[in-house]
Amino acid sequence: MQHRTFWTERRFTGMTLLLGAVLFLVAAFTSVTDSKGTPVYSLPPREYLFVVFTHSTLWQWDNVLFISGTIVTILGLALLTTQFRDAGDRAFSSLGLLAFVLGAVLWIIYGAFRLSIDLWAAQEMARTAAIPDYYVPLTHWTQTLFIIHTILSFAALLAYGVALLTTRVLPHWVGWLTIVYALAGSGVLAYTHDFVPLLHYLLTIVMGILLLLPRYQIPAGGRREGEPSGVPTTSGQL
Amino acid sequence: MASSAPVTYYARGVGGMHRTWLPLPEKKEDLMLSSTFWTTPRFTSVVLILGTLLFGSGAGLYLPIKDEKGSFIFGPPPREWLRLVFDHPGLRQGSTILLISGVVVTILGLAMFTSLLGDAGDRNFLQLGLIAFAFGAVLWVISLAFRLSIDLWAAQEMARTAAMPDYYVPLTRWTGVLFVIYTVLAFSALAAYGGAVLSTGVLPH
Repeated sequence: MQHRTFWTERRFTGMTLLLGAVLFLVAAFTSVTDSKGTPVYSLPPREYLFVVFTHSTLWQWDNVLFISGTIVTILGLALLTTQFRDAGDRAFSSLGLLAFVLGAVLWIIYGAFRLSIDLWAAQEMARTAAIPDYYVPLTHWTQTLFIIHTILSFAALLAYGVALLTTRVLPHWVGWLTIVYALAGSGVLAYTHDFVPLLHYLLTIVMGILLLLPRYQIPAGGRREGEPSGVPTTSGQL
Repeated sequence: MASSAPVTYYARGVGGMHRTWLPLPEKKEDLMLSSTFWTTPRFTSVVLILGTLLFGSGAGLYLPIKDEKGSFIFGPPPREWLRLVFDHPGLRQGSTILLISGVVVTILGLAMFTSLLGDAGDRNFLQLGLIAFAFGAVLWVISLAFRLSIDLWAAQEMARTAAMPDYYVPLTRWTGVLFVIYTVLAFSALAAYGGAVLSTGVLPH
């Protein structure tokens, strides 16, 4: 597939990044809301569980899409890391991938919580009119996981930003944009203790689109002019 | 085992139709791998087989755990499950530890396999396969750790109070979702490895 003219490794990487971002964004923009249009994530526990109960099917689909988008994005970033390694970056992209994967594990644990405990607790509340005792402490735990996930995502983006600056896989302005976003996002997270994760995926969309463009393809038989000649790695290991 | 110089672990057979595993070139710093038998491919296969055996042993140890009707531990509802956990704590812990060991060793084997096939030319499918499997394995290990901790705790609580703890069933649903995600990722990883094997020709198509 990748030996054909169109399906270069970079285009394959770009398509994977775009697919992951689209899955995530579809989930974000179809998120469940209450009757006033308030997103479920902004509601207190009782109202939150009520909305989950009344929109349980949409709730499950949203979270399956969130999880799928994250996993596909990991695959896209793994392919992007290969591009960076081939272009001479040895450390930053690998660190970025590692940080993102670690954060994604926590995010998926959180997603699995929404698909199981949230639904169970919502049914229990509908049956007994009381929030189960175990529910609120568990949400504090998963909220902590979410914050660690967000910090790791910013760290990953920062590392990818540096990798973008030290190679010529994509234009340097993308690297600067990524670094500024990661630093600014970290500041917002420190101040508000919350951050909307869908914003991360706007960056992967930018990278994905650029990787599809003809000007960012490697000419057959060599690398782009001026690109460092790193030795291609032979393994796919983290 | 990593070397700075590129190493070819295989060579084309007669007519270029086959690829035959050859011993590694002599490297004094890596005595084990430079011996005739312990080639990197053989070491990789031993690790993969060991992982499978550990996992299989863990699964096998679950078989004697049955209720009065002869049903396996994975069939009964939560209350009966916890009673079986309480009745067979040692066997169940041992089998779960073997399952975890099997998963971890299999990841190591797949990492070595990825390195070998990467040398043969394919990288993308391999990288995707390894990441998918390792990522899923983390979720599976979390689920197994639940069996080693919460299951035992809940079984003791139920034996003491005759009531199943409120939190137990919701938590099993949580780990159940993790298991489903692991299963999807493991199948995806195997599909990626299948694609890699087809694209390199290192192993029979």
